[in-house]
Amino acid sequence: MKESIPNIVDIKRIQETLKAKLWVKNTAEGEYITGIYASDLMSDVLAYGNSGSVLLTGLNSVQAVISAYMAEFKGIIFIRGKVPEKETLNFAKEKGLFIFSTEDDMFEACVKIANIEGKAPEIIDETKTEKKAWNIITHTFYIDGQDFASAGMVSTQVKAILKSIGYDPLLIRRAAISTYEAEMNVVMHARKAEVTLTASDKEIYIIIIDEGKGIKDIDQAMQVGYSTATEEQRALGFGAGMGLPNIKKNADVLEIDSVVDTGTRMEIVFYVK
Amino acid sequence: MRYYHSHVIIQEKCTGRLTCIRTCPTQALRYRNNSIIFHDDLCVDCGACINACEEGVFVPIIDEIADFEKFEFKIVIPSHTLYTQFGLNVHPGLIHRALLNIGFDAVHEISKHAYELSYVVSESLKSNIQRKPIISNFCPSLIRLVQVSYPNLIDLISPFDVSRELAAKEAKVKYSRELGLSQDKIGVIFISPCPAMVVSIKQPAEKDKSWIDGAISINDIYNSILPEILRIQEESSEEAENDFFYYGKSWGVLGSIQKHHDPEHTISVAGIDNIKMILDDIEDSRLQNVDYIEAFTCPQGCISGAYCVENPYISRNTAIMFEKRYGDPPEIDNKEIHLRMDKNYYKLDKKVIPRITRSMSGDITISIKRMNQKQKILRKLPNKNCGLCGAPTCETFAQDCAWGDAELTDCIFLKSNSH
Repeated sequence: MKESIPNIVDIKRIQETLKAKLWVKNTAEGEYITGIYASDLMSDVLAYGNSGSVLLTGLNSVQAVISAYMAEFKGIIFIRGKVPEKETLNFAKEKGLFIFSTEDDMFEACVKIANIEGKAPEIIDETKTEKKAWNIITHTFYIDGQDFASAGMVSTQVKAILKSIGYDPLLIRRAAISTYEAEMNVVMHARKAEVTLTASDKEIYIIIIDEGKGIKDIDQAMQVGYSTATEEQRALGFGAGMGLPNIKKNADVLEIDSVVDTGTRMEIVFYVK
Repeated sequence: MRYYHSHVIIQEKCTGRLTCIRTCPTQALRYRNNSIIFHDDLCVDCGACINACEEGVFVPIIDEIADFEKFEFKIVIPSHTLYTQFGLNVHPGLIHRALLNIGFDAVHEISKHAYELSYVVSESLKSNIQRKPIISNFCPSLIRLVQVSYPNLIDLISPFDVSRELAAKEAKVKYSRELGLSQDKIGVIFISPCPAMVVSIKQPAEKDKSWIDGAISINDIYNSILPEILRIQEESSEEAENDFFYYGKSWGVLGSIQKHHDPEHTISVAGIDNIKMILDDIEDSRLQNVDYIEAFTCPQGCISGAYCVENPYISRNTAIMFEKRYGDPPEIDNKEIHLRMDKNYYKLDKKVIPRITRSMSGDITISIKRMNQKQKILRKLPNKNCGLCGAPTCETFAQDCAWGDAELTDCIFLKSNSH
């Protein structure tokens, strides 16, 4: 069961509308919430609930408040006049969640909340209401240039994540090899980089944005054997000029934008079949 | 499909020390509601739990000598490791005689087969038909690790049979012909250094049925043959010490293959975590110019197997010395080996296939949902990896919660302190 309200509503109005009893305060005056999540299934709360929401639930156990805390909710409203357990209240106090209870049942409470005319506050700090889609997984990694000792760590982590999701082994292999090549490029030629992995059931996206010397001629860099690696780097076994061609070979889409002396943005896409 | 494993869990003996869940390298164990939960699809039979538990909760399933009474003729195949368990002063001939004294009808040595196989592998590496590097397959625990965690690399597992199987096959055929007995009346029994080899006999990953009929652990046989060895040593030691014995290249000790094979293009690796690093490198095409991976999940190779008696570093010393003393192979005709190669005598009939584990739901969307749940939970966990929830690490606990196997309330840090 799920009901979310489009507008941001302040907690006080919800309390008034539901004639809710306050158990644990923990709210600042005029604090806003970003949504209501109504459910008795705590695994759904963890999977689909957005941070900054309120949990409306009939599950009167400490499990509920722990789940709400995990999902970065602001608080809980218990329905049908449930009296929260002492442990629940203590946990909420400790972790900074508020707790209300209302005499309404789930349906009545949802309808009432849905009918509140939401007044969006004028300034919303978007960074504090991070919304993540439940069917996409995102991870960010960082690479330091010239750090040959740690080279390969990011691609190893990317591979581990893709493996645990359970993609086709061949697809994982292609993604891991491409990430490794891109990682080596950063280590050899850039100062630092941010790698973002975004994965869904449709595609795997890997974006590498580096700060560094950039690529002068991308077409030339794409040629097999072309390399600007130093003698030392070659002595270490890197820089054979296979990096970009190898990524191109493995990826479904490879897009490179580069500004000389500023950096390179590389987008690698793999389609999930 | 249920997997055969070499141990049973005696829950009544468990006092909840949590040593096993922390030790298991594939995180197949949990402790919940006062009992051990065993995810048998993740178990690679390394035997770490058997060694780690002081309570003896993990009891190896091992055959006993009495189980073989049904056979009319009993052949024993000692693993190389057995010879290294008695120190430098016990000649292998004594060990063979002791085995015959306690009731076996024949001892079949394994070294000749190991020699042949090492030759066959070298030859096959010369041709470019084989995808490289070849991953050695004599450690069954390693094969299972690849099946569970590295399905990508399954084609790299050596396509040849292992020496214990070849030895059993030859012994069975030979004695059946010589004695005029049918093969099912002849029992071939292997003396195993570890639980994984027992599993590979009871439920092989690479074939339908093993040639070996049963397995005894080194530590069981040790107690039976030690008094015999001491007695023979006193009575007729000299005679036994004149027995011809070919030990070979200290097989079963880490690095032995690398040393003799092609050191430049071989990597020797032991220990599950170290093996994982190497397998990761292979997966990411990071390992260049390597033809062969010699890998053992036990730290020093088979001499550190869970059923060994002797300190592995002392066994290693014995192995090195034995290689010097008994390292010259008997007359083996390489032409004969080539003839057999042409007949695919050494090749396995079946390929090893990946094992489907519980973490693979098959549905990417569900997996991603669970991963996100797991991440959310993990962020709020104390990351102390105390194990009191019954999972080895906070990460495994978060995963168990996302999978619905554990309750968030199992974490003692998530419960309120202010009662």
